[in-house]
Amino acid sequence: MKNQSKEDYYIREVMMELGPDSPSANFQQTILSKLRAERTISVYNPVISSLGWKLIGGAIATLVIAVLFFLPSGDSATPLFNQLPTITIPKAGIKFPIISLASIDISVIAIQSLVIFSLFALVSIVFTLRKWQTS
Amino acid sequence: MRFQEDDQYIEKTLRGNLNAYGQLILKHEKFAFTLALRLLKNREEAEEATQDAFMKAFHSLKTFEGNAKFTTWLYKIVYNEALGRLRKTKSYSVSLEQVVENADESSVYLDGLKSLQLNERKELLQQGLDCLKPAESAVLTLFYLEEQSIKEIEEIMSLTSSNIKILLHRGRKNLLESIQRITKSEIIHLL
Repeated sequence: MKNQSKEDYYIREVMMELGPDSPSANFQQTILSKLRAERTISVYNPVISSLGWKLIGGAIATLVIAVLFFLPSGDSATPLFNQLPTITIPKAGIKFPIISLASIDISVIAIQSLVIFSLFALVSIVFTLRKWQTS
Repeated sequence: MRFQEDDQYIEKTLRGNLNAYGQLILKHEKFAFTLALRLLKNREEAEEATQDAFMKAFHSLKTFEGNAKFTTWLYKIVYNEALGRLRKTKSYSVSLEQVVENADESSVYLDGLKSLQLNERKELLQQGLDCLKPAESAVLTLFYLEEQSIKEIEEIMSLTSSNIKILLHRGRKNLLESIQRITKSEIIHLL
């Protein structure tokens, strides 16, 4: 037992004498540079910019309006497009164009799809507006 | 250089101060590296393992609850990282057979060691440690150099206290035997 405690004492002493080993000089900097590299925020660049989406939205809206107002709705109605030349400024009486919405024959599934699409579009608009308010 | 307490650096690091983590690295790099080196016995590999361990420690710093010492927590990461690398490259096993106690002349020999010059003694000890099995070398380093208790070493190495005691005992014996062997061969070379 005494022998073991002597061993213990000596080994402790020489281990302390030997001390710890040192890593290379740039050890700490290497780790920090790796951590900094991990931290850099990657900027999200969307494929279609917000202006692009606005233009696409505008084009779709124009198309929908054009279809609704300018396409013939039935046999009796005259398309709005055909009524445009009849509007002549020199005449005193202004004839207002007879607005008739085009009746589009859409299947039930297509209507359901359009409703769901509109709902999702509405939700996305609400979230986008909230995001703009917070940022 | 005077360092602050570990928990102060940890707190600052968690608040996003990377320089505070830099100070924490600076404070513990030597001991963490020494532990990895004693296991892997290769400087480049040990440095890579220690760096990876510090990276892992940074990423899981939020999970450090402060129940144990930070060093115990860090050394466990370093030990596991080095062990993982050791297992990939070499066959590693912790043999826990009981050492047969033989009342040799080691204590007399140790007196002789004292008479050597400091540099010679250091060189001898380094060579002796290199001859040891990784687990024995790690236990001796943790117990004597890094002054971890048996309970803390249990936590670091995921072994029972009796296993740690066996490794310590055998590590001491084998270290002295390898030092004796090295000095004998050196004397033979001189003759």
